[in-house]
Amino acid sequence: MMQPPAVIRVGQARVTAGLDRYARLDLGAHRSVFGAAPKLTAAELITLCEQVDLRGRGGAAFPVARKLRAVLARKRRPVVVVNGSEGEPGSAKDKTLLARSPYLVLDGALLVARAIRAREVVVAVTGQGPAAQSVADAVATDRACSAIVRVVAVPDRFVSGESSALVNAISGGAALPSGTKVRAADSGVHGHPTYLSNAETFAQIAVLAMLGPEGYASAGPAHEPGTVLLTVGGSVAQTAIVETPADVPLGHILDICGARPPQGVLVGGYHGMWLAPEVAYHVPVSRAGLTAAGGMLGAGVVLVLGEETCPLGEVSRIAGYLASQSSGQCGPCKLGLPAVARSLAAITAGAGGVDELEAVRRATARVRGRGACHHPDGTANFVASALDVFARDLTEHMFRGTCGRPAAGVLPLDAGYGETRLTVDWTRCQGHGLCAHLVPELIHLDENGFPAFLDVPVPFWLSKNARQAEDMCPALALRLSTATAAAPRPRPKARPVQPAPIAALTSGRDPAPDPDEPPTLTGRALRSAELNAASAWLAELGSGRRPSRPWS
Amino acid sequence: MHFRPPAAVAEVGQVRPASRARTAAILAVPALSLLIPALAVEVASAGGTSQLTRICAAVARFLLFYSGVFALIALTAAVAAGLLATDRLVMSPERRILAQALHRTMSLIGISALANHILLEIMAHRASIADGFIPFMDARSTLYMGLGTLSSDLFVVIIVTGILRRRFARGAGRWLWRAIHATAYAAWPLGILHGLLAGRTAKPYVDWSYGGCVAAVGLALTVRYIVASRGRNSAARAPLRSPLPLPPDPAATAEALAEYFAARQHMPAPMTTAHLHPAVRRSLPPPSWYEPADHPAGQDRR
Repeated sequence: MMQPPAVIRVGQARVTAGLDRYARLDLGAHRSVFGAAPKLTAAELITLCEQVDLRGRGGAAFPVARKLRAVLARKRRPVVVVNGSEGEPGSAKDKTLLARSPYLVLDGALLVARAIRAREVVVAVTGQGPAAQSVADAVATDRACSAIVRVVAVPDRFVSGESSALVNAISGGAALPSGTKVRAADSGVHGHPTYLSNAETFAQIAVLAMLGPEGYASAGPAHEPGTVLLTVGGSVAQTAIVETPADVPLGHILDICGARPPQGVLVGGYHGMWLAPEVAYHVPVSRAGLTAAGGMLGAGVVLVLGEETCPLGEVSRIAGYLASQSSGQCGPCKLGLPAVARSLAAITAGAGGVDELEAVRRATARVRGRGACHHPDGTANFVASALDVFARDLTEHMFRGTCGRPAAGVLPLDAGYGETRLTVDWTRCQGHGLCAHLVPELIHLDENGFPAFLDVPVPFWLSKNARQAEDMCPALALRLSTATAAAPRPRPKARPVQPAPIAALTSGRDPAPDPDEPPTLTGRALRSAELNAASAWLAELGSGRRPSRPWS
Repeated sequence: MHFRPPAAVAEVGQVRPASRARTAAILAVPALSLLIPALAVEVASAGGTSQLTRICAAVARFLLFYSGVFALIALTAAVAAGLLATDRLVMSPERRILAQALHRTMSLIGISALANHILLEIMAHRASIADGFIPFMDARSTLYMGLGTLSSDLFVVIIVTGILRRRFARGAGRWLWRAIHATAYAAWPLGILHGLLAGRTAKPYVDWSYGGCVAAVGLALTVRYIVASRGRNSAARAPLRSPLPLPPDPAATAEALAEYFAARQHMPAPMTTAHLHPAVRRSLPPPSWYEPADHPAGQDRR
C-alpha cells in the first residue's frame, strides 16, 4: 500500500492500543502500554484460549486451542511460525501490526513458544518493506527474542501466505502450496510439528494472556468475545485498520471510514463474497453475522465499491489477478481460472452474451474443490457472488455493451504486480495460432483466428511457455516485454449511442415509450423497465428456474 | 517511521528462475560433442595394443567415415522440418509446433555432426585448418571441398542467428533475420554437392535420395511462395468451405434443432423465445419451423 493505513478503533482499543500516541511502539513504549506478558504453561494457555473460544484470524477461523493440542500431541519439539506474509492485497492489518506494534506480536509468539517448549520461532514477512524492517529491528533489539526468533522474507504472491506454501518456503523449498494435505501441526517446518498462525492471532493471544478471560470478554458479544481487526479499503476516504468488538453493524464502520455510497461491499477479501449494499449496511461484523448474510469474515478485509467505478470491470480485473496468482500446479486451477477471467473480460468489454455468462458460471462451478489449496474455491466464491450482486450492471454490459463508467481500479492490487507481459505487433501477426497452443492459459484465438490476450502479466510458472511462444511465433510478432513503465494502451471504450444518460435511465423516470420504434436487444439503449426485466430474467436464469416472460 | 540501519532479512521460498544463459547452453552441445572424437583420436594415436586403444581407434574411424554423412542427413531433415513448420495448408498448429521442435533438434544435431566432421578431417590431415573455415584458401583444396566450407560457414551463421532469433524479433531486424535464414536454401544444396562429390564416390541410391529431397523441397518452396503471395490478402486465408451459404433446408434444420433441444432438456434454462420482446418474437419464423411441437418451448408459444 502506498499510504500507511489509518488505525481506527470502535470502543476500547486492544491490539491497537498505543497506536494513537506512537508511530511505532518500541520496547519501552510497548512495556508502558501493555506491561509484561505473563508466562503460561501449555495447559493454562489452552484453557485460556478455550474459555474465550479464540479463533485464528488468518481467514479459516480454526480454534487456537485445538491447533495447540494437535501440536502438543506430537513427540518432537515444535516450531512456532508467525505468518505476517498477508498475500491478500486488500489486507493490511498484519503488516500494520508488525510495522507499528511488533513487540505485541512477538510477545504472543514467545508466550506460545514458551508454553509449548518450541525450538524456534519464525516470523515470515513479504519483501523488505517497513513490516520486515520493523520486526527485524525489534528482534535484534530484544535480547529475549534474538536467541529464538528468526525473520524470513517470502515472495510477495497471493498463495505465498497459504500455510503449506509458507512451511515449504521456511523449510528451504519454493513458496508453493503442497499437493498432499498435511497439517502443519503434524509435520511442518523441516518435519517438526508447527504452530502456524497469522500475526493478529499472536497479538490477540498476548492481549488475552495480559487481560485474562473475563477482561478479554468484556468487549464483544458472548458468542464471539474480544475484538476483530478489519481492513477497510476501496471507495473510502482512507484505507483504515479498524479494531471493533464483534456484532457492530458494518454500516457503522463504513460510515466511520468515510465510505462512499456503494454498489457492493466485498467481505473476506479476494477469496470472500460480495454483499449487496442494503445487506452490507445492516450485517453485524462477526463470523456468525457475516456468514448468515451470505458473506464471510475471513481475514477481516472489507472493500467498498463506490458508484464511480464499473463493478464488472473491477471484478474482471481482480479475476485476472487471481488467475495469474495461481501457482500453476493444479490443472483445474491454472486453466479454469483464466477461463473465468477471459469470459468475464469479454462480458465487461460488451463482447459476451448469455453464452459467456453461462461459461463463467460453468467454469466457476468446475474449479470448486479441485486444487491443492483453497485458491480455486475462493476465486469461485468471489466471482459467483459478484455475478449475483452486480446483476444489474451485468445486464447493462450484456445488452448495451457498457455501463458507461471506466474501471477506476478501486480494488487494490500489489504494487509489484505486472512486470512481464506478452504483447503482439499486430501489423506482423498473421494468425498462425501457434501461441494459443503454447500458452492456452493466456492466449485464445478469436473467431477470426487472431490471438486474444488475457490482460494479465505473465506469471512465473508460465514464463517458460511464454518464452517458447515468443521463440516459435512464425511471424516474429509476439514479444515478451518486461517494461514496467510502459502502461498498456488504453482500450477504446465501446460506447453505443446513448439516448439518455445513465442517471435518467436508472432513476425510474422513463422517457415516454415510442410504440413505433423497433425494439432491439443490441445497439439501442434499453429503457429502465426493460433493463430491470432483463436483470430479473438473468437472475432467474442463474438460479436454475425456468425464465418467465419479463416483457409480456 | 525511523529504524536503525536495516537488518538483513533472509529471503526464502523463491522459485528458481529459468536459466538466462540459454544461447551459451545451446551452443555448448556441439562444443561438448567435439570431446568424443578429440579424445578418441588422442588415445588411439598414443599407440599401444590395449582394448581401450582399439575401441578408440574404431570410434575415430567410424566418426571420420560417417560424421559428414550424419551432418548432411540431419541438416536435410532440419531444412525439411523447417519448411514443413511454415506450412498452413496441411499442418495444424500442434503439428507445426512439433515440426519446429524437430527443426531445432535436427539443426543442433546437424551442427554438432558438422563440427565433428571438420575436426576429424583436419586431424586426419585430409584438410588444412584453413579449409575448415575459409573456402578456397588452401592451395590444395578442390572446388567441392571449398563448397563444403562455404556451406558449413553459412549453416553456422544461420544456426547462431536462429538461436538469437528473439533479438531480431524485438528490433527492426525481422527482414534481416529472414534473409539470413533463407540462405539455408543455398547452403543446403552446396552441402549436398560437397557430400556427393568431394569425398568417396556415393552409391547410386544416395544420389537418388538427395535428388529426391532437393526436388521435394523445391516443390514445397514453390507451393509456399504461391500460398504466401496469395495469402497477403487476409480474406483469402480464411478456410473456404462453400462459396455461398446454402439456403437452409427446413427439414434438416428442424431435425438439428430438435436434437439440440433434446440435449438441453435436462438443463435449467431451455432454449425459449419467451424472454424476447413481443415484437422480436413476432419477427421470428412460425413455430412449426423453429420449435418442435413436443417441446415445452414450442408449447409456450401456442
